[in-house]
Amino acid sequence: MTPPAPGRPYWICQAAGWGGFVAYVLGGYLLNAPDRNATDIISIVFFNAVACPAITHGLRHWMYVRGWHELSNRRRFPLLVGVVMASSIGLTTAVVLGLMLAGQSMMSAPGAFGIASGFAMAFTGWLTIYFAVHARRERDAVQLRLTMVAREAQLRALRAQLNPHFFFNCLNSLRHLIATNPARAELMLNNLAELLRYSLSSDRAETVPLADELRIVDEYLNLERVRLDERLNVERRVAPEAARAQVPPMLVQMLVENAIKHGISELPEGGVVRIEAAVAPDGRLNVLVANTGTLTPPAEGSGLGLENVKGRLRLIYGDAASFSLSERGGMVEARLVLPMERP
Amino acid sequence: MNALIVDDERLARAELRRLLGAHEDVSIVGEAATVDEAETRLRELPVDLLFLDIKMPGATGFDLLERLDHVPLLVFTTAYDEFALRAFEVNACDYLLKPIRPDRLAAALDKMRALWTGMRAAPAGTGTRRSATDRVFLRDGDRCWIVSMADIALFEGEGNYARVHFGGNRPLIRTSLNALEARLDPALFFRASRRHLFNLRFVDRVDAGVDDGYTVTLRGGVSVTVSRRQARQLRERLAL
Repeated sequence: MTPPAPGRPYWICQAAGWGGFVAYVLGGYLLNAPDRNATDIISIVFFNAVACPAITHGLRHWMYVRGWHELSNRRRFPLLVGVVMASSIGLTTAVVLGLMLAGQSMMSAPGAFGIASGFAMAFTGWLTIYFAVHARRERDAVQLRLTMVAREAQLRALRAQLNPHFFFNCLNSLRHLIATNPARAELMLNNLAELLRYSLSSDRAETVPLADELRIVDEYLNLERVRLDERLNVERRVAPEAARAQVPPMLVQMLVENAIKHGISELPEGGVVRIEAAVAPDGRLNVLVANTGTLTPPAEGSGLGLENVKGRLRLIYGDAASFSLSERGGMVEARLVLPMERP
Repeated sequence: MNALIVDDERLARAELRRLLGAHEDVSIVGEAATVDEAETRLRELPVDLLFLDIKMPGATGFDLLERLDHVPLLVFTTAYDEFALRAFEVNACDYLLKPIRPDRLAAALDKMRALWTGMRAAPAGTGTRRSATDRVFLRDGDRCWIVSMADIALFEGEGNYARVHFGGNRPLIRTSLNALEARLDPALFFRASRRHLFNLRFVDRVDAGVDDGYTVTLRGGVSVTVSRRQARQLRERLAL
């Protein structure tokens, strides 16, 4: 795996960390060393301020190439111990040889050991901080991915699917019409195909023009008319500017479906479904889906549909959209208020 | 067999009628689009076989069954394999998923014919009282059963409700023990006490109980106390 380009925090940490380290070592040297000389100072500055940052930077690259970031802590730990030992021994050897080449006498063993342990501590510190930050960022990324997946799943689950009960009832009617009225069966098949296609592709777009949604509502109503005969009457009043507004797919469809499922189909003598859409003076889209009937306290299952609508609106619009259900003059009214733009 | 079709959709009824046309021994005596209509038809017409949709305006097919004193042979027709149907003990009935396949319908009819022959061999129920061969519909929450009266071991009164013991199940039904006693065949069910009404055919052992009463153990292990007042009646009933 090729390493990603390091960000600003990485460079700041590198500069501050090694800057601090070189200041610490140099300070210690200047305060404590009995015979200070330029060679030592050059050596300290070169190894701590140039070699160490270069080695750790190279190490980062190398660890990415070898895939050490993906290893478990248990498998990575011995490798890192090896890296710390090898680099501190290597660096110390380089320091000792460098000083000898510069004409100084061979360093004492305790002196060399002190330098080596200094490097070892510095590298241990670097690796500790590096992997702590890395683990934390990994965790944040996973968290973010999980949140996105959860939201996506939530939206998908809330997306109104075609009611299977309705679908199979349609197929049953279709089976009869094929034998008795093939021309009507063809029309019904067209409606069913359009509705199914729209329903299946509805999770591709987060919003669609209301006009598209209403076209599908029409296909759906044609199907329900086959089922309900003259029990179903539809009134529609949609302003042209409202038809251009964007709405979440299958949402108005679901309200119309509910109006029939809990309204018209429960009434042996049938009733009216009224669909209205207009843009209010405040610039928001108002959609009304009303049906003959009374608002009964939600029986098991039916309350779920409303929670579903509210959940979808919250996920898409936050608090900017609203939904309400009320009863007025023998009609159950579902009202939807949506912002024209998504926040 | 006389069949009644109950479905709120005209085309669904028409389709079933068309499919049943292939079976000469089934004659359709009527159709109903609502539960109320179905209840009326069932009182008026001699129905052996009931094709029943579950979801209908205002009430469900289950509501219809609960209103009936006697459940005919039953085939549910439903568009979707609903939860209610999965919970159903389907041994005494069958169900068809829409769109209905002619071969599935034929198989369901075969099953019904077998049950029908068995039922006709047994003596018919007398009057409004339910006899051993009568089948009743029981529902408790999401679970439903169609049970032959002969398979019910015990009714246990709980206030205005009664717990029905049969084959390891204990559904609670909304009928008082007194109301049940009035509708059950006294040759089959015996009122042991204020709390218990048991099936005489289920008696396994009778022991002397406290206060000149009896302790009756039923098959399945449930014991019922027979009060002193009822003990004499029980002796008479069980005497040779």
